[in-house]
Amino acid sequence: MVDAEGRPIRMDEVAEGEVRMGYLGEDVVLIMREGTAFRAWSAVCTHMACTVRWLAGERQFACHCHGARFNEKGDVARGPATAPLQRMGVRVRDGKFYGA
Amino acid sequence: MEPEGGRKSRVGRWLAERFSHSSVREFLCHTLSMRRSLSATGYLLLVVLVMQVLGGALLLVYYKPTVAGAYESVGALNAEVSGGWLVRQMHAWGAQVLVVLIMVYQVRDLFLGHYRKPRELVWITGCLVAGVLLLEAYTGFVLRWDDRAYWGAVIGTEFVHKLPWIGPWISQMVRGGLHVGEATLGRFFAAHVAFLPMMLLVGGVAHGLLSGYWQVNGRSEQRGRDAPEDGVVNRPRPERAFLLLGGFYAVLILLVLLAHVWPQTLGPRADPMGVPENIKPPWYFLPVYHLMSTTSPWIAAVLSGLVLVLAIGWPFVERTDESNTTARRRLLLLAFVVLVIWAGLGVAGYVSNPLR
Repeated sequence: MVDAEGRPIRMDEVAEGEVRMGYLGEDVVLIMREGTAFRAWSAVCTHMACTVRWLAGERQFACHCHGARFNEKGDVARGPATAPLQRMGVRVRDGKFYGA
Repeated sequence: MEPEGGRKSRVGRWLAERFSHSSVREFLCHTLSMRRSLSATGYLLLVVLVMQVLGGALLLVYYKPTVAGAYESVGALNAEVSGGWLVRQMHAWGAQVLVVLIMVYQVRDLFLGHYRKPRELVWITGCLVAGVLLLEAYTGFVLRWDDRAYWGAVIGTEFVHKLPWIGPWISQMVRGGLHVGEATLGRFFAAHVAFLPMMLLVGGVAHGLLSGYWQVNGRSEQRGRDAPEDGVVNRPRPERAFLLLGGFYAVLILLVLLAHVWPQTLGPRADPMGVPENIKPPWYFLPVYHLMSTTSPWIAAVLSGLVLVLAIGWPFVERTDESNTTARRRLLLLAFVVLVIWAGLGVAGYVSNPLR
């Protein structure tokens, strides 16, 4: 998983409860640390395929295109989206993230 | 003895045989005397369309249809090419003006009843031309490849993707893969400069020919009924030439003014990682945008489809007798209400803020 500049994102760069965004191949992915585990979602809004953003203050993912919101588990918090964010499988090797 | 026309060159004789003074005069008289040969809106549409083709050809010289080059080439057109910003602005505004004009043109025909038997095909080809013009404006909007353009392409193709059965297939074909990127831009470019203009040409010519055919037909019917004198019908109307010239300059001045007063600025570079705040589509897609924001893509697709089918099939819905004005008024009121609701959705989409 790499950032916008193509630099690999290392697991120690993702702080507890923080969300990082990066590319896994062509997919834009969100990754969140929970203790020693990591949770990852596709950043593609399930409504109309825009990329969601993490609002740290509200602990929600927001889509700026049509206003959908998702909670920190990726479930729908507000429409018009009806399906949760798609979970992605990632594995950590040498401190870097790779697709599962 | 010198043969007749011996002083003229061969080219001159060839032209004289085909285009005699009297035949050209007759043609001009006929054209200038036709009161409804081309409505004012139709004429302005044609003027802007020709300007769009010329402006688009100039833009083609500098535009690079690649993800790496599109945004930079549009930026360079604005900043480095002499007069480039004006050509681009006039082209961008010309597209908006075209959409307005085709809407006015079709709404005018709707309320004047120009879809009624035997003119159904005139109306239907008009609707198809309107649809192609919308697609032409949309594909052109995407070509600048800034953030609004990129997300416009994402949402537009995703909307198609949500259509039942063939939606995913069409969407993948338009995107050139699963994601919006290099292949998508190439396809939008090809559609904008080749496929859609060809469709526009075919549709526009068909519409013009059908429209002209029924005008001539209508005139001969009128001649049979209350035959006006030939001299009256074919009276030259040179003042019409001034009106046509005036219309051309009015459009030119309008586009230059719009380009100066409200330039359509290039947004930040497209970033697949971030959607800008309060992003909105071009105004002509605002009703669909608002439906998508407040309902679901399915409902937006079904309602848009219904409006489209109702528009194209209108001549077969409103088939009341000429004498039955009450029934006709009711149906036209229905069309008016649909138009007002659609415009209302557009206004609601414009003022809405999805982040609230």
